[in-house]
Amino acid sequence: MNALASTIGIHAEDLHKRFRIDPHGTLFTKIVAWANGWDHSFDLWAVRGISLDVRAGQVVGIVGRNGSGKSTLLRLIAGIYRPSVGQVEIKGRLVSLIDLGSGMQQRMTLRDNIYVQGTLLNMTREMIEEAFDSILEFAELTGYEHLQLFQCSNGMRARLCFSIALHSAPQVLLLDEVFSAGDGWFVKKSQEAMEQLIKSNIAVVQVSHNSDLLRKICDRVLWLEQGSLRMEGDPIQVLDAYEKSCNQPGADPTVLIDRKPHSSYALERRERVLTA
Amino acid sequence: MIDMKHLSFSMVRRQMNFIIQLTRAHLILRNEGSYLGFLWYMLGPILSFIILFLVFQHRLGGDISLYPLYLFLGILVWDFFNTGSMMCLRCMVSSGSIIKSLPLSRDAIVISQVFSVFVMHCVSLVVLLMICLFFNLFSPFWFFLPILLFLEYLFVLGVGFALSVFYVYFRDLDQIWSLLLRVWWFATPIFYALTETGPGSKLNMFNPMYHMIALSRSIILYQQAPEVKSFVILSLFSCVSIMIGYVIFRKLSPHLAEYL
Repeated sequence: MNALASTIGIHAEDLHKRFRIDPHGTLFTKIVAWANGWDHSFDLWAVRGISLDVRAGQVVGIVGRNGSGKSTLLRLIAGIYRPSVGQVEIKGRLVSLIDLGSGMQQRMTLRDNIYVQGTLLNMTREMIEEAFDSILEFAELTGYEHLQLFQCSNGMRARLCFSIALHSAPQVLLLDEVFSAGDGWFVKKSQEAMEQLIKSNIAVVQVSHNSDLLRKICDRVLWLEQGSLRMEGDPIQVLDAYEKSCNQPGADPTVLIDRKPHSSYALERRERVLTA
Repeated sequence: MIDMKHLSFSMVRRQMNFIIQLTRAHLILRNEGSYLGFLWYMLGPILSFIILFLVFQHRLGGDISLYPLYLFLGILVWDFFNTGSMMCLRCMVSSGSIIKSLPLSRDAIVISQVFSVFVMHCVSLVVLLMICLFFNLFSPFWFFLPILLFLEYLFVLGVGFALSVFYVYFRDLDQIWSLLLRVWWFATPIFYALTETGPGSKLNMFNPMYHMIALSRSIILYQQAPEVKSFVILSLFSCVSIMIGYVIFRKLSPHLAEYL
């Protein structure tokens, strides 16, 4: 942790995430359940004991089947979820692209959207003003800034989102499948821009199902299964093993569920991790 | 979330910028980017004003001086509370996808939501003040108005903080809250006046909306100094509201993303 003290990077230690699943979502049902002493809640452990260290200039890829905890892990790192056990330390400007277009408003002009989205990505007003022309230019939308977003095609929208993100000057970057924007030409262009960004000494975590991309850009790959780490290491080795396993059906998803609410699973798990 | 340990000038500036941008976005979206959209905000209050005025002007309004303005001002102040609290209630759920994908200050979402309604409220108050000027009703007590508006803002913000997070856990809260609002509307002397001795006057001492409306009326319409007792009670309500609301928000908001 001390080595990271002054530099850019991610330090995550023994992350666990428990979701309390409660079928009662309204005040009425909650009161009725409480009065009758019903407890239908259970725990779902979506991430179990993941540790991660990413320094500046490194790209770490994360692969795994659907529901293996990839996005949950990214959200834990980004601080969107609080870890149930473990801790995360981030040094540097964090930009998370988990859902690229989430802040975009259909009934606003591209100009206003750039300002809002830029603000959501932690940019100051001056930064946005300075980057404004460049954002439009990269998205190949120069001259369109007075169009409203709903008047643009999906590809144009995606290009704009990506371009704003690219200009947000990230130091720690979390990406969740964001290279699918636009046509072939734009995908190539955005990958090149992203590779250049990575070379400028930032820390990147990339979640993707695209093995070719991960082989190309990653220094290290983590393979998650059922919320735990299945394999970690050299991209080629891990991805080969992962692809082989993808020919078989996934494992039983119920292992994630803990039917005894308020159990001491977290503590148990922690002891096991520490003694291992 | 503001981290008190690392509070610095640049962070406060960033937070302010964030709130301003979000408020702007709310206003643009509401008004479709045109200043005329403001008319739609006024239309609700104007319509209820016309109906209530036609129904009650002879029965309840007979003894009240300046009844049309009395009624309209009451409706405007109520509408700020009504719209503000209702928008806050839904704001966390409606910006769910943002909350789930970006690590951002969640307090700013509520603050800017109330602020956008507050801006609209201020503009409609300016319209009312111009009507008053037309009828030669200017008084120096109008300068108390900013303080009163600040207290109103704090009160609505506190209520909004609590509602916005509770709604995520209790999805029937919107039904419950709108029922409560309807009862509250009739309990507050908006289209009628309180009698000195009735049970309503005692009950309304504990009604912050009563104090807001009564203070606005005495300042704006009746050229009276604001009643000190009312001011103190309203200040207390605002402080308690913002404190309790924010404590609830701080406690529950870190876990919001899991329920959206």
